[in-house]
Amino acid sequence: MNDPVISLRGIDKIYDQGVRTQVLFGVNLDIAAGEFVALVGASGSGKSTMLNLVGLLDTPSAGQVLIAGRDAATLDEDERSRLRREHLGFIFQSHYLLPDFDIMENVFMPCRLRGEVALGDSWKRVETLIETVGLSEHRHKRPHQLSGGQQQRAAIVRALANEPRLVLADEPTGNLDTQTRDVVFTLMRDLSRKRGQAFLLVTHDPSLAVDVDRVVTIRDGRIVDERRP
Amino acid sequence: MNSIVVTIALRHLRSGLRQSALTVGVVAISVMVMVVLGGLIDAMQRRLITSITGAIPHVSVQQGPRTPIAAPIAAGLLVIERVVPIENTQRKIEDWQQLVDTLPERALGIIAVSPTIDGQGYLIRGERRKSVSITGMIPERHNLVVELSTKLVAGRFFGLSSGELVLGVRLADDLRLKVGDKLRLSGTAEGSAGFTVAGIVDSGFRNLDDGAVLIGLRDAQSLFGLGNAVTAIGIKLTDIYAADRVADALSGQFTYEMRSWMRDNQSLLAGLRAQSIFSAMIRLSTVLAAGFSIASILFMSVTSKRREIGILKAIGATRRQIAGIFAIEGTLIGVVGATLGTAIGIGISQWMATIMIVSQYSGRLEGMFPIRLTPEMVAVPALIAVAIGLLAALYPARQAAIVDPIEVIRGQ
Repeated sequence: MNDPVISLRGIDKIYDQGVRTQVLFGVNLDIAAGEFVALVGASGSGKSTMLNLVGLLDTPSAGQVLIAGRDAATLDEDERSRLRREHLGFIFQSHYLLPDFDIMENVFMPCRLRGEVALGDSWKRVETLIETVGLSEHRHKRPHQLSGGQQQRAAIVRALANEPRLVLADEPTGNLDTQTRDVVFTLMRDLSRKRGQAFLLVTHDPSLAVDVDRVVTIRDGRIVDERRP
Repeated sequence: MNSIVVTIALRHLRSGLRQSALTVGVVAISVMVMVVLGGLIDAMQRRLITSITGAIPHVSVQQGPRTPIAAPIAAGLLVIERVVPIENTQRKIEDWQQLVDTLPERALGIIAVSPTIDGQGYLIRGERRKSVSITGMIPERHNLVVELSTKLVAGRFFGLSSGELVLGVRLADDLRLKVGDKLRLSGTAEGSAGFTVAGIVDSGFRNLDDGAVLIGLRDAQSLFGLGNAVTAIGIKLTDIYAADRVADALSGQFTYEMRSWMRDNQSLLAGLRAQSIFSAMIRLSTVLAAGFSIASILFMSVTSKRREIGILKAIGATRRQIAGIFAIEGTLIGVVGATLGTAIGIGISQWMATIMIVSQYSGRLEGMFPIRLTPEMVAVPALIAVAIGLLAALYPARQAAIVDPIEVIRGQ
């Protein structure tokens, strides 16, 4: 395996809100650069918790989350935010585009947050991505003016805008019809291959876990299977 | 913090335009009230103070009342049965010339000094005899303490010769006197002397216009039998509210009594202070209302934009950036509201200043609301509004900064 873009080492996650609940038990996972990994599991198996930890949105109760040579568990919230915008991209089940901004502004937002300005190199790169996903003619529209599939394609471009090493996709096709689901999935797969960006796709849809590099199965907070289809 | 924070803040305000406009309106009204009320209260107090201090010195040097002391005599004590106050014209200041030369150096803020003789007397015109207050003074010096030269309605004030007098306009009307007319003036206990009317003043001060006669210092000394003495030295200050301080400073250096206009009008000043406090409370209430209004719209904004905040954090916005968005929103509301409120406040003040009424006393047209806005009276409410905008935004901004993106992503 290439050098991992992210490594989980012995991760435990315990929620203690009156009742102590452990949802992850000693999870280990490495994702290599350019690798397209599907994380599958039933509802409540711990896959979203794992995604939050990989996405530096949450901290483990025990273990290490290593990204860019740093243990994210030891960083404060703002440092984790900076690591997120430098190294990670997010695609959610809902597109979560900002309603007050047009598509181009939305997809460029991660770059703006790290201080880049429009019309620079990043802007050109994002414009190319917009073209690639077929949204050129919609780029000055507001999110509500687009279809569900178009919105999700815009969300994919936003996730790739700052050239992250790893894109985290949480049920990205969950709200789409079958045809649109296939288009969006293929788009993610192709972009990953062309651009060498790793993807961690969280899904409970086994049909999506076919054309991927690796399938990781989680059950009751433990990784129970890893296979290459 | 980069420009995207400002952009997002502006988009938030634009997306909730109606709410933003209402809040800006509340801030604008608050600033407008502060500007107009501040100007109005200041003008009314200024007018009241001027009506008191315009015709009198700010500090007056006088011979203090002397209290007799019971003295031992051979057969026992000399008992004081009755104390007769010394008449004003008997309270002499003999060394007044030295005082006039040295007083300006003895305390800060003295801009003019005028020796005077103040007494009561009668103005006799044919068969008519009218009680008047007589002020002996050196016109050129006295005018620096009580400005009268610009209030002449006839004749002259400066360069009074011996045997010439200036009198108030109502007194002149009452006795049908005009410049050049002859009359007699008598001190209460002394003889009388013939005078010619040299000038008539319309000062706007009732005491002066109704019953005051101004004559040269030497004429007054002669009329009241004072020799070379005077009865008071009037002092004008750069800051009228420094009167107590200057009077106290001079008291320590001279044996004379130093009377401050402020001590002589303590109840009025207490009333004005109460009025100022009341005005400040009204202004504070409007500021607080504006602050709560800004805080409330920002809380609503944080609540309605919670999902957006979570997503921004998930894609890399720091807490500082998120807090910055709402701090900028509050500040922008404050700035726009302050600008509008200042403009409206200045406009209303200027309009109010044009409303004229006929004075019941003088019969002249005068401003009903003599508002006079200073840069500081305009700038302070505006700056307070901007500061309140920022302060009101701090708590909502903090609430926004701690939004947990996971909750938002889970749809909680």
